[in-house]
Amino acid sequence: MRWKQLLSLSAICFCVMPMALQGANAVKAEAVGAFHTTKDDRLILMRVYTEPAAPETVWLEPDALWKSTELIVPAAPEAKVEIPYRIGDNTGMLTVTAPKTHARFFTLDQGINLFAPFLVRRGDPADIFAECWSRWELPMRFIWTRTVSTPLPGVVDQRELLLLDPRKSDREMRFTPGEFHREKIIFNSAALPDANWECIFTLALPGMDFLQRKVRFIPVHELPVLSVAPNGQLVDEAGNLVVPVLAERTLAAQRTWELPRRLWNDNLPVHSATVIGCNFGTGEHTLAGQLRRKRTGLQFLPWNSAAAGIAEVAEAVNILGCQPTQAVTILVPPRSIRLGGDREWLNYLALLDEVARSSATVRKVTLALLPAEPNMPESEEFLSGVRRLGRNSDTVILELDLLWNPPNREECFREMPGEESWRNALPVQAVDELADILNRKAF
Amino acid sequence: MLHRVLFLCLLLLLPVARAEQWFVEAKTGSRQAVAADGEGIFAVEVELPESLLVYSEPDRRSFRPQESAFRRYYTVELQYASVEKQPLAVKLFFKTKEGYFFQSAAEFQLTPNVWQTLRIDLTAPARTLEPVGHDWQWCDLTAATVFNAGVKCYSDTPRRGRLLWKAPRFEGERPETTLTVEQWTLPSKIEKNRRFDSRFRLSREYFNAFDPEEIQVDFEVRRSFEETGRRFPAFYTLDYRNELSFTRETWYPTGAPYWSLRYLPQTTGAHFIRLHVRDRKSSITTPWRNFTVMDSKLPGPVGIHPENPRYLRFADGTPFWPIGINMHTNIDLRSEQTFQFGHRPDRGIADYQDYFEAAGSNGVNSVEIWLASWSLAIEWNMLNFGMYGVGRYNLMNAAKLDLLLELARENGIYVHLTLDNHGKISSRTDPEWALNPMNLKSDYVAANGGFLEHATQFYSNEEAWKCYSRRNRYLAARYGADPTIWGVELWSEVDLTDDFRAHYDDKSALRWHERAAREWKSLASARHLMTTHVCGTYHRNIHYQELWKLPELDYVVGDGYRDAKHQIVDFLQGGSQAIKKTFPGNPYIVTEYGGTPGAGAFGNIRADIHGGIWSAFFLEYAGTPLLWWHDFIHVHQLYGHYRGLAEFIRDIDRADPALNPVPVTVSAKEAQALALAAPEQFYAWIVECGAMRNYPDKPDQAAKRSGLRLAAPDLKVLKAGRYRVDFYNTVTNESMGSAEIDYAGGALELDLPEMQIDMALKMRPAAPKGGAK
Repeated sequence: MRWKQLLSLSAICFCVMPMALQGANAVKAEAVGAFHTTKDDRLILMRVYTEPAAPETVWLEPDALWKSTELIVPAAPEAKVEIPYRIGDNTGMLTVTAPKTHARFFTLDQGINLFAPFLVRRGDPADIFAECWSRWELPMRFIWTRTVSTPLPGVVDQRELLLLDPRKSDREMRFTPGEFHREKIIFNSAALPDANWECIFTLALPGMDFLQRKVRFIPVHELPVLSVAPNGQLVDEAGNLVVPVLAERTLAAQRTWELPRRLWNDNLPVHSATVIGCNFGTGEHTLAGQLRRKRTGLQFLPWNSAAAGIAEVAEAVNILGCQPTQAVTILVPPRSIRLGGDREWLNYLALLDEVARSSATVRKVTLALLPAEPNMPESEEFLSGVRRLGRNSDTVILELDLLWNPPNREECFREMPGEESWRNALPVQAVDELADILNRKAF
Repeated sequence: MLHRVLFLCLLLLLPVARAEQWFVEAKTGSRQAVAADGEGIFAVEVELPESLLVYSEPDRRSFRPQESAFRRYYTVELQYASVEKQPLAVKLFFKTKEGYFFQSAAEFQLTPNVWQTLRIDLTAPARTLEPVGHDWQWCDLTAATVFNAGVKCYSDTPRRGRLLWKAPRFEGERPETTLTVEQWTLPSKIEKNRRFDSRFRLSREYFNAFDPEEIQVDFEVRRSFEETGRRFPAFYTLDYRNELSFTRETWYPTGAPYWSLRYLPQTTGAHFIRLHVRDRKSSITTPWRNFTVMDSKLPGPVGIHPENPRYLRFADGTPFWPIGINMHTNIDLRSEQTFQFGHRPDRGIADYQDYFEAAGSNGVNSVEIWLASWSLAIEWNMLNFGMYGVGRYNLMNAAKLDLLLELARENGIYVHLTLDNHGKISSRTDPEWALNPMNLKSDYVAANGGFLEHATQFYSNEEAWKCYSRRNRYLAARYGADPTIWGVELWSEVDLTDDFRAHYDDKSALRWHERAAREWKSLASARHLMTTHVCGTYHRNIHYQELWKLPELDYVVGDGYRDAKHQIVDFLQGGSQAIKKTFPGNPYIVTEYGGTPGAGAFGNIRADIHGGIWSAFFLEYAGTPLLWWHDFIHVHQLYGHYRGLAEFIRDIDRADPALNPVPVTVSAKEAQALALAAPEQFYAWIVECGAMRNYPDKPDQAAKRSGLRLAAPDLKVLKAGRYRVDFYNTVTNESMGSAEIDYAGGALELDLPEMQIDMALKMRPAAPKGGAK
């Protein structure tokens, strides 16, 4: 049925190149339409088929047997594309040239979305969710390819033909996309190689690769410079999705990290410290002043209190990766202050913790929990998660609340007039006092 | 009255079930309608794994956001009937008309064979809904425009049963929060003549934040506590990001909406600013905050030249003589057909990026941009993506215009912004009235909120004015502080709107223009120049001259399409003289021209480009005419014509009151010349007449003409003395030679070098001997 429709679409400028073949079958090529890749560059979409329909099929690739296929030919007069075919036992090469005219124009509209966890801890199950979609105005047979840098159990190279439905043309459904092809790959992250592992997804037609997206699983100590895509995913400089791989939590690994550092800490002063965390207001200057007296330089990496999130975390990861520091303290607000929720925040903290610990110079990592505002029970669950994270990775937890006991607790949370709204539930009037505690206990 | 209030209160308390159809979808696109049984219970078979969606959808032809459905909760009663014992996981979800999907962050568990009530809080602070496949945060805008609402069941393991549900309800009053301004970011120091943006949020959510009757936010600025402040509107908006995949440009909303204010400071020193927020329940005024305006070299907005009101200049006195192209919309189907370019894909703002880079680097400093229904309009028929008929604005298109203005600024281009084109209220010429959301007879009137029976009622109907004024308030709030806009045109070819002649004669169109221009000027801190535009030729400007005699309209614009038998130089000369006579105190620019209204042959259009821009400079136009066929220039890369003129006039102040046209003649009758003279300046352009009707296909192979002599027989203005004469190629601006002459006063005669098609010359006092370095 679709086939007939396509014939009628291109009836105005029908372009057929019959091929002499054994038997009654002929291989034909027909212009379906054209599309632009840039404002001026035009390509022709051709359909290749046998008529009458061959009992066996046009042959393009060893692993793809199709009765008909679309292919792309440049619009230039001299341009041609050659495709091998097979009908029964007969093989040949079909040369397809672009016709001078074509029936209609299409707009290239297809996409690949990749989703992966924010991070994986080696040994835990990991997954990649890939989807591709088409909003062409006609059904399209795409070649969907998955290529991996190293085969893993259950994750190997794959190539398949996808028939994706067109977008809906009627008014009622005009905003809905066409059909999605979705695939979920689940694997054990213990199988990941020690270095970078990549999985590349490609959407193509013979003659043209439309889209390619890559996901990279990278151990924390090898992370590239990270940035954040508009959809909130961590990406490298080329825009590839990056999933940091955290080291496995083994006792041996823990000892390897901890013992030498404990020995150093007992004997050597800290010369450079980094504090990452929520906007600490004047507390930052107080802390810097106090550390200066101990001859310790302070680098403060604040995240914006109103919109703290993955972008600031990525920036902190980049800075920790290139600027040596000896002590890292993460100031944890008493509740997740980003819309994403607790789970995301715990992931951010886990990544920062691991990045700090993987640094050759860092000897001490502290998760400092800021006091919670009275009557804020929702913070308890989040803070429990942070404590659990600290316990699991054996990171020092500094409960500032236990060390801070002001007579007028509620007053401390009242915002100062004239200040920008911090909106992160900090005891804004007591940051200097907290900085003092931090100085004494964390460094 | 009391009864009405009570009735309204009661209405707000009642839960609302919307009139809509239910669907079940086990696979994207494979949906089937579901009907309720006699007891109002819907049922579908559930067969999992994977997912199944059941959702409601209103009739697209009548879907219009209803305030009565803008409630706190969405409540649905469900039952999973099954022999299984395991609960079934479900999420509630919502979709906008454009397909943006939101689902509940929480997962609900349906215990088999038990009726359960699921309820979700629809307010943004509740954070109960998360975006899926995009990063637009759930907010009042999405809550007010919910198109699909329903339930998603999913399972990784096989499940079999029946899902039953009753029509859901939007219910519960939205919480009463104290009205406050939050997260107001304001720079402490800003540059004079640079637009500054400030953003903030309000603690309350609104059904329609575009409706100033529901929520009106203004800001007030003053320079001292003794000074009376000026008030300007703030606006509600949302950030977007854009991607270009091949030729498809896609814009994605991102984050949560917020309020913004934009202001153009034009004086230095301390400034004070505060916000006035008024909604239906309360109003607040924030305390004054202050910022300092630092001096800058930015020229400021464009205004009328105070000493020579037929020309323009920037606020700092720098001359502005627009060299421009009409880039109305990025694609032009008529151009594709007329010039047989074939299909030119719509790449949205990416097209403008290419156009602006090419034009700006070749000396073009002005373009006309339309807010056309098929490009950048913010209010139009709900059938279009992002449009919701009357009263809600397309924030994606608004963001596109922001980017367009930014690209223009980066490329040294100033924008002539056309708010509306005639087709919007025309049922005859380029008719779009059938699609106008105000149209009461449109098929989608219920969805659009249409109310006007005929387009002819536009100029006199108060509801239409209210709708127009509300949109302009938004546009002025967003773009009114932008000095990149050098002029605002209320209408393009206003005389082609339905029954315009009658509206002109009964003065309703005049009153309307007066009101619209006055309002924009009061709302825009850049104090943009205002005008309106007519079709045809300058004769129409004279015909409808009362329009530009309104004090609110600052300059005259019109079309310059010519009869094929006329030559462009003569045509523009006629227009200049006639307009000067009718409007002696207004700048005049032809903002649409290029052959006949149906274009013309390649040589005709190229002649118009070259001849149009050069003759406009030597005649009394306030800028070059703007060619309508911008694709023609871009495809054939004819920007060089603009570069030649831009470089030639770089050191000439066309607005100098002493610099005026003088009559000149050329020794050959096949050539003609135009000239300008001031006491110590003389400029001329000499051109072959035939080339201005049909420009040669191969200009470098055009016939060379030598032995020409230019004469200015009655040159009284130029002072006697020794002058240096420089001759220039008009496309490359390369020197064609120079000479020094002694001019004794009176008639001037100059021998010209050999030329092809045309040439230009500058004559200025020669440097004293030994004085020049």
